[in-house]
Amino acid sequence: MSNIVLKIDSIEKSFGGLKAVRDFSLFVNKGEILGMIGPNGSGKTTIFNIISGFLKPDRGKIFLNGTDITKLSPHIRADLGIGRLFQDVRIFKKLTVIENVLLAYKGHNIENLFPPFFKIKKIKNEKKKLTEEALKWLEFVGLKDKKDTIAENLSFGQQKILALATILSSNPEITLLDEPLSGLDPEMKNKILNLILELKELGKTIIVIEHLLDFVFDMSDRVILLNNGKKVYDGSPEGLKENHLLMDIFTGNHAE
Amino acid sequence: MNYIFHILTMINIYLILSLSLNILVGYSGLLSICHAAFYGIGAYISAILMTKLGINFFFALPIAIMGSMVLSLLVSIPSVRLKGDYFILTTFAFQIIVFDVLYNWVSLTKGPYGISGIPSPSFLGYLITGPVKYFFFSLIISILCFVFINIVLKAPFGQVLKAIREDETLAQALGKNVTKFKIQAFAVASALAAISGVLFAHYVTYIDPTSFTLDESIFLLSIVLIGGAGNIKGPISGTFLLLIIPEILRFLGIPDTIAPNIRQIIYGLLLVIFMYFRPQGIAGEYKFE
Repeated sequence: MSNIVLKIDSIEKSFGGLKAVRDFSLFVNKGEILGMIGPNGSGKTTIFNIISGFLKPDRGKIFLNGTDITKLSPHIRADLGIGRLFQDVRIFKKLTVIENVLLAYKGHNIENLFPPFFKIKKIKNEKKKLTEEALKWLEFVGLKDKKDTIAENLSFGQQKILALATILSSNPEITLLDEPLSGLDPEMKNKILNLILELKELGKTIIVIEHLLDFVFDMSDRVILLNNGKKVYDGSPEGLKENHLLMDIFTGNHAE
Repeated sequence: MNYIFHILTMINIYLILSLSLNILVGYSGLLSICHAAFYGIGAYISAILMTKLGINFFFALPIAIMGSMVLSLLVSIPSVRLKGDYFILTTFAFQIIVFDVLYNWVSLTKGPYGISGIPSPSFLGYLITGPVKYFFFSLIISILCFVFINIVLKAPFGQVLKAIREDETLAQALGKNVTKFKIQAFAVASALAAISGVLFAHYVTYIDPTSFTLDESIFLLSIVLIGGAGNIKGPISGTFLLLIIPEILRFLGIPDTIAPNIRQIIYGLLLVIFMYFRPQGIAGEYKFE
């Protein structure tokens, strides 16, 4: 099998008269970090929504490890290995940190209604195993000592890190990070950047949307630039830096 | 003495109702106002089976539970995809329909005349009748229900329900089949409401549709909201508080003609005060916004 994890085949999406995504194609290799940049409204989050299944494309197809997932609903795609960090930090606010992370596991056999009555021992063992694994991830992101804190009492940055740990513990084939650095102080930014670089060492496949170009160029193997729903650049970060015409699109200096 | 046991029996019945409604309201975030409909469905199925077909209580009970679970699909499948007010409206409609069917399907339910002469349960020839015996019987059943609810909600299943309540989109993004879980939660809650209905019908031996109205559903919701949603303690404290208030009024010597009205005023006032000053209820952990 090839090492292409995600393949997007000319998808299009319109909202009323607005073409949000036009003829967009993409492939992502295993172990690659792909930076996705573009001005506001260029369709980045829409593409994430289409990949994770919250929006259906008007046409085109999406393949995950060679399987057509275009018509599948979000929870099935999540099972197949698409992890998503939302732009507006989403966590289960009233649950504790460890409970949040535990919910990422695909424990379908123990999550059903009736197993609690018949497989008490199995559930106990499974829960113990998962808790150990969840703690490993919390240690990785540095939230282990907060494991019993109610999630809404964490700081914004910590909530973001918790959301990241939750997704990582579901061990996705590909992780979509939507502005993981936005709204954070410099220290937290560096922390998350380092986490992403560590993930790269672990061989994770990641697509990241980010506005902070320095960070994107630092972490990405490859970047794509979107403008008005169209891909206008796909290549190395260095190549994009040197291309002043394209850089102008991003910075908004469109005076030609 | 019989009077005390009567009240305790009613508390047992209402504990099952409020704890099961809490699965929907407190755990899943589904503000349902048709819980009395399932309470009534359970009562009527069992009453009809026993009076018309002479089926034993312990066979009628599981049939009532199954019937209530199947009927819960009628409301859960169309409504779980709806959110907020639209969801509440769907449960409202179901409540009204069930009441109308009980009221108008005279050949089956005897309509407004109600079903009388419902036999008491008998167990291996031992007749469970009278407030004292029935109290212990209802206590056993409500403890069994309590244990069941506790296991279900402490298990991963309950955690997933809470997750859905907190953030449906995130739950989906983490691979939870939200629709399936909501339908299951509805089925479990309806099954338990049916058990209360069966207990009630065979205790009072006479039922008519007015016990299972929208008012009753709202009363059950008040128990959960005043007691507190989202954990087990909340509905239990709500049940005791709201069932004991009318008895206190009785001892204050308020005439029967105005007592029900005063009761309504107190319930309404309590609800407003709690929503304003303590939205999580007496002992709950989940606030409705």
